[in-house]
Formats: sequence, structure tokens, C-alpha cells
Amino acid sequence: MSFQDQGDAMIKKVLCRLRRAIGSAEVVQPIVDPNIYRDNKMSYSGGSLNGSNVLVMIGLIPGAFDITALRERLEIEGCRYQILFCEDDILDKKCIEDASDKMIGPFEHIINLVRITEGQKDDEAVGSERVVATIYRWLQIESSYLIDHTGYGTLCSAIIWDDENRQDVVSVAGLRSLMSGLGKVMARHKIIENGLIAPAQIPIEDIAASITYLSGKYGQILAGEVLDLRS
Amino acid sequence: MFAEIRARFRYKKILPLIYDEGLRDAYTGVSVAGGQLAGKTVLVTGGTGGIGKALAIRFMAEGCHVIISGRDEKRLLDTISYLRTKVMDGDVRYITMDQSDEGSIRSAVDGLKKLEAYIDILINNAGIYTEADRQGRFRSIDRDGFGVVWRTDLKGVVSFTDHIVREMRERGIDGRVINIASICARSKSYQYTPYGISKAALIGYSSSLARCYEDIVVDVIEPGSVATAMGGLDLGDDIARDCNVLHHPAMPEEIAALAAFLAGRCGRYLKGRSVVASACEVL
Repeated sequence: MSFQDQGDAMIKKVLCRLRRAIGSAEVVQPIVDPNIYRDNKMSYSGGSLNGSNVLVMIGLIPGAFDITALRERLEIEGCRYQILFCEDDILDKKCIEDASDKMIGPFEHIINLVRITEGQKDDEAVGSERVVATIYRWLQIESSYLIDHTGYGTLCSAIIWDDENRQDVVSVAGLRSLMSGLGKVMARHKIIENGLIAPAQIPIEDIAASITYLSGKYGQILAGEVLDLRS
Repeated sequence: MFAEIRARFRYKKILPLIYDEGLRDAYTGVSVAGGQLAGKTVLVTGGTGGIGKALAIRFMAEGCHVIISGRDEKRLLDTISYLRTKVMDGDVRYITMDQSDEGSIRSAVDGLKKLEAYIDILINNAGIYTEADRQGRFRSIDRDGFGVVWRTDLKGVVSFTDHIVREMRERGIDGRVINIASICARSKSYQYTPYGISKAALIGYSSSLARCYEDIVVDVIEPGSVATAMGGLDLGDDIARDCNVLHHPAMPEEIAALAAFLAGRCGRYLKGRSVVASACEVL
């Protein structure tokens, strides 16, 4: 270690001591789930979604998914869930609060399952502003809900796209950046945020399995990660 | 005035988190692969270390037949006894192998044949991280210092994997290879060290292997800091740290669960690509 390095280290140490002597402490609890869950041989979440309240938001194209497989997955995991279909940016916090009125307690996990476009649409500009802005808005509202209502929650978005569609390629790049960047910001509020991007050819049951893994306790270490699935 | 100064000098006080058997058990038991791994034969290299043990426990709990490898037979036997206490009805065996030695790799491959163990899932976890890597040294590292890391963390992995993959293909096994790399491969603070270079090369090898063989799925995990002896932590320690957004390094069991998830059906969609498991850690 050079003389200058030693000096820098010393100054850092003094500043640290000073901060601790006169500053105020922000007490932080590490994010961890020490619960042992009931055995479930079919689980993808290590049983950690059992008994939790899950909201599934589905958009943007009506009828784009057969959600039977998703329902089955959530039932295997033992979740209590509500599914909201949302075609455009009409979502507000009240929609989520109304849906949670039917549950005992607030939603702890929110899953977005979004098909962004279906086939080539030449009439829209490359990289649809509508698509990206809508998901952006959803995540704003959903994160506000989780911050206000839960001490710990997860927010997982699955973006289903057409990887040969130029418009989708551009939109997905923006959405990947959004999901990736939110991981750190959301964790300050004890919200684990992550996601996946998958082409439409991947069976919905495999997407559902991946979503439950990411939303469960083992998804914590993947905060801010976006799994890029390829068929 | 004083309140203003206090607010300006805010500091984070992280509450302790003791990494003990209870926490290990909480991150071990229930399936993360939908029960699809039962009956598969899994080989975990570096099975006596922190992540290696966690991998063995996870795959035993998923109902797999597990084989661990390591250099030291006594440590292997101790580990086997420990693993049997963690998963009572689990099936676990061992082979000795020094990954930096080609002769030892060949003996291990022969040993597997004698055990009649045909590997479905290979997890390349063995690796070394020297004091020079930890200190981020560059100019003072000699040829041997570089070579020992390169031979263990890359060359041995490539050689052993080639043997196993050849056998998987000959037997028509829907094989899986999961390579444990590190975020050091991409971090400016470590990517020039022998460890960082070897892990970057391992990521490259994984993607090339995935392109070569359509029938073999190769996945890569890039962990950040992990609560293992390699990272200066062990069972019983307070692992609370301001290293990532979770305020603790990854527990080996979290990395093991990710490996099990990738070894299941969903992992094939990530073929040849890396999954970073660092909770936004920046080195």
C-alpha cells in the first residue's frame, strides 16, 4: 500500500468514526425468508408462495393467453389469487385495492403477464411508446400499492414478445432496462423486483413456472434480474 | 442545527443475520423444479466446499442420485456423513479428483464408469480463488500463480466436461451442464485477475459448448459474493453486509436452488446464457 493509499484509508476511517459519533442511524433489516414451508413436490417457489395473496395483471392484448396453465400453477403453489385483465393504461391504485377487498389481507406478490404486440403492425412507430409507457405506468401503480400496503412484496413482470418483429425488439430493450433498473430502487422499500422476457413460442406453463420461481423466496437473489428466455 | 448535521451524517446500521443450520434448512427443503429432477444422476465438482455442499443437499432433496468430487478423501468422507444427516434418505457417493491434474481427471472418469454412474446433470462448481485474486494484484503474479488458477478454474473444467458430455451424447442422455462462474468476470475490480479471467473464459466456453451441441443444455450462473469460506464466511457467522440490496451475500443454498431450477424444464430456454445471482451487487 502506497503512502497516499494509507492516507486515503485513514481519512475514510476518521470520516466513518465521525459519522457514527454524530450522525443518525438508518436501521436496516437484511431481506431474508427464514420460514420453513410445507413440503410440495410440484412447487417451483420452494413452497414459499403457499398461502400468500397474488395479483396477476394480464394485458395488453385481449385473449392473448390461455390462462388455464397459470391458474393451475398458482393453485399448485397454494396461492390465493386474483386475475385482472387490463387492455390499456386504465389501471389505477383503486383497481388493485378493489381486487384486494375480495382477499384476506393485501396482495404481497404482483405478477404482470404481458403480450406486447401480435404480429407486425406497420402503422405504429418502431418501439411502441404506448406499450412501454403502459408498462411503466403499471409498475408505478403496482409498486406504490406494495409500498403502501405490505412490509415485503415482490413484483415480477413477464413480457411475451415476437423476436422477429422490429417494433418488439426496440420496445423490449426499453422494458428490459426498466425492469433491470427498478431492482435496486424497489429493494429500498423491501420490494423484490425482477422479470423475464420470452418469445411467444414458449409454452405458458413454463413461463408460469419461471414466474413463480422469481416471485418466491429464491427470486430474492435475482432482484433486478431479467431472464431472457429463448425458444 | 444539530439535527441538520445529524441528518447529513446518516449511516446505515444493518441488523445482524446469523447464517446457521436453521437458515440453511429454510433455504433447502421444498422443490424448486416441480419435482422433475427425481431419479436423475447429478455430479457436483468441488462438493466439499460451501456451494458444493449446498448443491448436494438441494439435489438430494429433489430426489436425485448425487456424486460429489473433491481432492481430499477425508474431507469427502466427512462431507458425505454430514450430507446424510441433512437428507436422511438421500443417495450420495463420491469420487476423488484434482481438477488441475489431467491424470486425476482421467482416473475420475474411469471411477465413474466403475460406479456405473451415468451423469444426467453435471455441475462444474470446483474452483479456486487465491489471496492474490482477493487483493486484486497484477504485476506481482508469476506464471505459476496464474497457471494454477487457470488450470483449476478453466482447463480442468473443459477437460472433465468434454469427457462427460461425450458420454452423455453416446448414451443419448438429455444432458445438462451448469457452470458456476462469477460476477468477477465482468467487474472492473477483478476481471483482470487470474480468477476473473478464468471465469470469463468459462462463460465463453459455456456459450461455445451450447452452440456445438443441440442436445446438451449448458447454463451458467454468475454469483456475486457468497457466504462461503472462499468469501471469508462460514456457518454460525453474522453475514449481514452492505454488499447488495438484500444486505447479505448470497447464501450457498440460494445458488444451489437456482442450479436446480435451471436443471429443470425451464433451464433449457436459457441455454448458453448466464444468469447473474448477485442482487444488484457491484464489485
